[in-house]
Amino acid sequence: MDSDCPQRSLFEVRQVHFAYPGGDVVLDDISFDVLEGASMALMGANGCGKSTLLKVLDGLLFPMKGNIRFFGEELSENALKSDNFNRWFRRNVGFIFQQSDIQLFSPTVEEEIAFGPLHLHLSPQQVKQRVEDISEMLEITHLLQRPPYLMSGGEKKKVALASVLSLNPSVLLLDEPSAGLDPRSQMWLVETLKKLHNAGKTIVIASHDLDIVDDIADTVVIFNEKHRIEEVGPAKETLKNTEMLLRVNLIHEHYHRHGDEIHSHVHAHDSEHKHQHDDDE
Amino acid sequence: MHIPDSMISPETCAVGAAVMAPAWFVAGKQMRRSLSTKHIPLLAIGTAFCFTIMMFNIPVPGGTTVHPVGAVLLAVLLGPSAAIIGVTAALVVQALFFMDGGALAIGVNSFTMAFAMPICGWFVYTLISGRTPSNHPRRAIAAGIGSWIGLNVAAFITAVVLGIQPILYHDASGRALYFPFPLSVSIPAMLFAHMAFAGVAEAVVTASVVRYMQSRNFVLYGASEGQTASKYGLSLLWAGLGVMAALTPLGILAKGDAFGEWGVEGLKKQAGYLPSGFLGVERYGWKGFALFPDYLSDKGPLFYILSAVIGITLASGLILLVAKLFVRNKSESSPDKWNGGETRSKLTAGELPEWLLRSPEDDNPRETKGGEYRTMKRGWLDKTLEDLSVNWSVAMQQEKTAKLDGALQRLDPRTKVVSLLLLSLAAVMCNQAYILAGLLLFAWMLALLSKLPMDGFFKRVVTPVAFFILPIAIPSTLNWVHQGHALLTISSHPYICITLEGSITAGMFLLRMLCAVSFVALLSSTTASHQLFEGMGMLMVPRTFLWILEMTHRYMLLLLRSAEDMFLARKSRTVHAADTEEARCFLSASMGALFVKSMNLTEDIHGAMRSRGWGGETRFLRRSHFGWRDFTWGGLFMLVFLFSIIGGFIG
Repeated sequence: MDSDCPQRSLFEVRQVHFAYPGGDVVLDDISFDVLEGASMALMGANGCGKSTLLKVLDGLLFPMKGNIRFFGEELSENALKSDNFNRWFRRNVGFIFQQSDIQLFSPTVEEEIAFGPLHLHLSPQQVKQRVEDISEMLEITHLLQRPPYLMSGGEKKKVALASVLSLNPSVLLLDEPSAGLDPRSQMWLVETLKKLHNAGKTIVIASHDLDIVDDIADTVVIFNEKHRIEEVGPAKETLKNTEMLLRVNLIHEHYHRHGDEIHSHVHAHDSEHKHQHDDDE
Repeated sequence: MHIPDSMISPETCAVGAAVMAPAWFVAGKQMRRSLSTKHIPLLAIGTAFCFTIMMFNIPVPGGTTVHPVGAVLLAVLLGPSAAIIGVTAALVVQALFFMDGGALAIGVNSFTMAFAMPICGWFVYTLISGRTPSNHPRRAIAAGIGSWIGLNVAAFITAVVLGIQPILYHDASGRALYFPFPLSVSIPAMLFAHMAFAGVAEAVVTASVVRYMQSRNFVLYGASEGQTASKYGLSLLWAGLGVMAALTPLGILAKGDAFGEWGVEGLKKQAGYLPSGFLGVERYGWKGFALFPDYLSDKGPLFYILSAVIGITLASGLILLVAKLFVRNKSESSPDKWNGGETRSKLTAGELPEWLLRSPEDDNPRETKGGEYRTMKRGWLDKTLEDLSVNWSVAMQQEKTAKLDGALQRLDPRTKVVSLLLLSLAAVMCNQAYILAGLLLFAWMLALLSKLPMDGFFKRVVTPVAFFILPIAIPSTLNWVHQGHALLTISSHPYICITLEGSITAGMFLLRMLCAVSFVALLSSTTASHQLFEGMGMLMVPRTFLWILEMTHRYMLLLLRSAEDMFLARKSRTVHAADTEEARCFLSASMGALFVKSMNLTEDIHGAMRSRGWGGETRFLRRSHFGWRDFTWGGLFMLVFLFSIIGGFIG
C-alpha cells in the first residue's frame, strides 16, 4: 500500500508478536506503517489485540518478536531508558486510555493537565500558559479545581484529552475514544479529532465503532480474531467490504439484513467471540 | 485497635513516631530500589485496596462482625515494605478524613498496625511456608497463622501502650490523665477480643484471599514460581515454631515478672510509685485475670515455656483446622455434584429453554409475595454497604465544605495544618477543664466562621468520641478504677459506686478527646484533600509519600465504588440470608477480585504516567501563597496555643 506516497513513515511496525505472561497470544505477525499526518483506525472485535497494539506503539509494552521504529528510531525498552530519547518520544506521542479514570491520576484537573508538561521539563510559565490555553480550547476552565471523581464521563474524556494535548504531541493514540459517551459528546469528540487532524496531527484510534471510524479515519487496519491483520486499506473502500467485516465479527448480519443462511454461520462466530471476551477479562 | 488522640500522652505519640521513622525510611528506600518508578502507583493503589477491605464486615460466630486490618495480607501479596508504607498511608487517610484513630497518634498506630503486625506476620509466614512454591497450599495456611499472630501482637502492643498510661501519667492525687485502666485490664481485654474473634476472622480471610490469588496464578511476594516443593520446608516449619516457643517467654523471664502482669508490689518497684487506681483494682475486681499470672509466676519459668508451647500449638491447630475446613469446603463444590442428573437433548444456540418461558411464580408456587413478612436481619452485607457508602459521602461532603467561602477556607493549607495540629496537641496536653472548654469553644467558633454546616460538624466530631463512652468513660467512673467520694452507689455487695474522681477523669477524657477531634475535623472539613496533603509538606513529610496519599485518596474512592458495586450485585441476587461460611467465601472472593482489579489498575496507571513523561522524579504545581490572612490567623492560633499551654502549667 501507499509505497509511493511522499509522506514519511511515523511508525514502522514489523512482524510484531506479543503474548501476555501465561501464554495468550494477542498480536501475531503484525506489520504496517503509520504515515505522518494520517488518520488511521485499528479495527477489530473485542479481544483482538488492538488495545495491546496501541500500548506497544506507545512504548508501554514491548513485543517479544519483531520491531517498531518511530521516525526511523528503534523503539525498545533500552532506548526508552535513555532520558533524552524518552523525553523526545513522550513529547511526540500522546496516549488516551479507554478508561479515563486510569488516565486521571492527579488530585485536580489543573494538576492533571500540568502533569505532562511539568515532567517533560517545560518552564513554569509555559506550563501555566498551556493549562490555560488547552482548558479554554476544550471549554473545561470551570473544571480546573475539581477532583476527577466529581465529573461525568464526557467531562472526564475532555480532561483526558486535555492532559495529553498539553504535551503538544505529533501523534495521538486513542483507545476506544467513543466508548461510553453520549451522542453529543461523541459528536464533539469527532469534531475535535477532525480539527486536530486538519492541523497536521497524526491520529491513530482503536475502535469497533464503524460510525466514528467512518467520520475520522482515512486508513483502516482490520484485525481478525486470530490476532493477525486481515486487511489494510483506505477507509472508504475497506468498510464497504461487508463480507470481510462479517468475517472478522465487526458487523452482525442484521447490519445488512441477510437471510437465514448467514444467520447460522454468524452464530458460530458469536460463540467464538464470547469465548475470546471471557479470556480477555 | 485505632488509638485516638487524648487516650495516650503526647510523649507516647512522639516516641511512636520516632520509632517508626527509621522503619518508614528503610521501607521507602527498599520499595524505590526494587520497583523503580512503579512504587508510587503500586503503593497508592495498594493502600486504597487496604483501606477498602478495612471497610468489609466479616461475620464471626455470635452474630457480630469485625473489620479486617489486612496488613499481613498486604505483606504476603506485595511484601513487608509495601505493607509498612501502605498501611501507614491508609491510617493517615483514616485519621485525617474519617476521624478513625488520632492524627497525633499516627506514630503509635502505625507502629502497631503498620509495623508490628505485618512484620511479625511476615516472619511467621516465611517460617511456615519455607521454600514452597508460590502456589503451595501451605502458603495460604501460613498467611492465615501469620495474620492471627500479627494481629494479636499488634493488639498486645496496643494494650501495653494503653496500659502504661496510668502508670506514667497521672496527677498528684493519682488520677490518671489519659487512658485510665492498668495493664492487668487492658491486656486481657484486648487479647481476648482479638484472639477469639477478630484474629480468627482475619486469619480465615487472609488465608482464603491468598488461596484465591494462588488460583489466579498470582506469584506471592518473595515466592518462587516453580512447581517443586523444597524438602526443608516442613522441618523448617517445626524448627521455626520451636524457636518461637523458646523465644516467646525470654523477654518476660528477663524481667523477672510477666510483662504487664505485675502485682502491686512489683509495680511499686517498677514505677517507683503506685497509682491509686491500682489499689482499687487489686482490692475489688479483676480477680479472674489475676489468677492466671499468679499461677504461672509461682511455678517458675518452666511453666512459662510450657504454656507458650501449648498456646502456640493450640492456636496453630485451631487455625489449621479452620483453614483446612475452609479450603476443603471450597473444593467440595466440584462439578461432580452437578453431573449426576439425567441429560436432555441440547438446545440449539439462541433457542430459549422451556423454563425461561414460564412465569417465575410457576417455579415455586408456595412462594408468594403476600403473607407473613419476616424481617431480614441487618447482616454483614448491609453493614459493609453502609460503611462503604459512609466513606464515600464523607469524602463528598468534605469536598463541598472545603469550597465554602469561610474564614479557614481562605487560609493557606500549610498555616492550617501546622496551627490546627498544634491546637489539637495543646488540647491533648491540657489538664485544666476550663482551658479545654475554652479551646472547644474556640474550635466551634472557627467552625461557625468557616460556615460549616454545624449539625454535620457536630456529628463528625461527636461520633468518634461517643464510641469510647461505653468501653472507657463509663467504667472509669466506677470505684473499681478510681476510688474516692461516692456519688452514686450502684450496689452495696459487692460494693460498686460512681466516684467523684472517676467522673472527673471520665469527663476530662471525653472533653479532651472532643477538643482534639474538633481541630482535626476543622482541618479536613475546610481543606480540599489535595491541598491538605500539600500542607503536610510543612511537617517534613516526604513529597513522595504525599503523592502516594493524594493518589490513594483519589483511587480509594474508585475502589470503594467497585466494592460497593460488588456488594450491591450480591444483594440484588440475595434471596436468603447467607450463612457465615458462605459470607466469608463471598468476602474473600470479592477481596481477591478487588485485588486483581487493583493490580491491573496499577499497571495501567503506571503506563499512563510513563506515557506522559514520568521518569521517577516528582514535580508539582505550586499554587498556594502565604498572605496577610495567614500571618494574622497564624499569629492568633499561636497565641491560643501558648495561652493554653501556659495556662495548663500555672493551673
